[in-house]
This record gives sequence, C-alpha cells and structure tokens, in this order.
Amino acid sequence: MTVSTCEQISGELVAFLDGELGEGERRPIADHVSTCLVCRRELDRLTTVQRLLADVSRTEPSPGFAAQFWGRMEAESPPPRSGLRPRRAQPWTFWALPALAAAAVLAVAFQFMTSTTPTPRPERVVQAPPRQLDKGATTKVVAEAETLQVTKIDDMRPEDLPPELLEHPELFLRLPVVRRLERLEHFDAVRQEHGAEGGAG
Amino acid sequence: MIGGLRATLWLGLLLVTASATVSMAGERLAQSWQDMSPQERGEAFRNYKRFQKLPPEKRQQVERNYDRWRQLPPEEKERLRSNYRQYRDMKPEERQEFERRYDRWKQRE
Repeated sequence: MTVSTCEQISGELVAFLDGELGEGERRPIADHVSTCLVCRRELDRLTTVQRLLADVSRTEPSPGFAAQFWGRMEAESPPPRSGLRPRRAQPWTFWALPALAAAAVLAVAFQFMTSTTPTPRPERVVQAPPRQLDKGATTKVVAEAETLQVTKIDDMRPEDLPPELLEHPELFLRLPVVRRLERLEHFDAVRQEHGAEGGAG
Repeated sequence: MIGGLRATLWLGLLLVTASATVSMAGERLAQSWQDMSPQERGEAFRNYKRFQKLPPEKRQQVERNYDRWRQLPPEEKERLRSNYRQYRDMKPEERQEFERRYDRWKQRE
C-alpha cells in the first residue's frame, strides 16, 4: 500500500467508523484496513475512543448556569480576612471542580476522536484546578478547556492564514453541511422512505 | 367583526416579522473572516485542515456544492443546517442505514 493511500484512508476513517460512508466508499477502506497494519491500528484507536465516549453520559448545563455560576463565585469571594479561621468548603465546589476537569477531558477526547490523523500532543495542558479558586484562575481554566487544541487562530496574522480560508470563510465554517449538501437536501425524503420500509418490516 | 379581522391581520404581520427576524438572526452567517467569533474561526480553520486532506475528487465535489450553497436562500440554509444536526446526532448504525437508503434513493432518482 502506498503512503498516499494510507493518507487518503486516514482522512476517511472517522467517517467510516461513524457509518457516514456509502457501500461503494466503505469497501475499499475495509479492504485496505484488512491488509494495512498502520491503518488497522489507527482504526482500533478510534474505535476505543468512540467506545469510551459512548459510556460518558452527556450533561447539558441549564440555560442560567453561567450567570448562576459567576454569581456564586462573586458571593464566595469575600474581602480578605485577618482571622486564621479556615474557610469552609461550599457544597458546589465538590462538583464544580470535577465538572471543569471532566469538561477538559471530554474536549481532549472529542478532538482526539475527530482528528483524522495522529496529532502531536497539545502544547498546553490543562492543569488540575487549584484548591482555592479565584475568578481569574477559573476563567483561565475554563478558557483553556474551551480552546484546548483549538488552533490559536487569533494569534495568527491574516497574512499567515491560508488565502482560501480568508476568501471563503463560510465554506469552511459550514464544511460539514456543504460536504453533505445533497443528502441533507433530501434528508426528509430519505427518512420517510426509511420510515415506510421500517414500518413494513 | 372588522375589528377582529384587523386584529388578525396585525397579528399575522407581527408573526411574519418576528419569524423573519428570528430566521435572520439564526442565519447570522459570517460573511467575512472579521465577522466570525474566535470559536467560529477555530472551527473554520480545523475544517480547512480537514478539507486539505480530502482526495481531489471530493474537494471538487465540495467546491461544486459550495457554489450551490451560496445560491440558497437563508431559510433553506437553515433547514439544511437543522437536517445536519439531526444527521450528526444519529448513532453510527443509524447513519449507516441512512447512507444505505440514500444510495438506493439516489439510484432510483
């Protein structure tokens, strides 16, 4: 197998695993993976990540979560006290910190799963949340979790960006939709066909 | 009677205006790089890298699709984005089944 084949295949492995490919596209990949050790290992790796992520239940924050969170942060940041009495840990800290850490782990795992080729480890690593959080430190952790592995695109000068990206930002922002334009246009028709046949079966 | 009709007309007009406003807000598609938020820029850049890895024939297909996408009215774009969200949320086996049926549907068309 040539390197170019492996490169092409690696770009399609996630779609292959997610069942996004039609039969005609699946077969050559399945054939290649059955004979190429490198691609089979990559597929195994992606399968493992997908299986791990499948076991993680998704938790959506309530709409007012952010406001509530920062409100409580403000409330929990009294002016410095001269006494030596230790501050009592508030109940929310027991879940807020693990939740932040879990969000960071999920962000890494998601990026890992969606990356099409093996990527080097990120330069920046989210640190374990500090014991005594102040608002600035928390903001930093949250921001790092959000932007982890996201290219620091804003740090780049426009002249360093690919011209196609600057010329057609909408194409790349909407790439997943544009790529599947035809099937999304006929999505309802195909699903109705699905329903009709499913009902008959 | 006339008062009721007038109220209905006003209500209809209000609904249409509200719906158009919501549609336009939802369709706040970044027209230029400068209009995009940092998250959108990051997403666009990652998608750009994915695009670069596609085989040439798929890239050409994407470019053809993009030409069509640009001609679509905002409400149709919003419909397709909504369809994509449903597609994305499918389980792998559901998606594979959808792809199979799509292939069959395409052959028939």
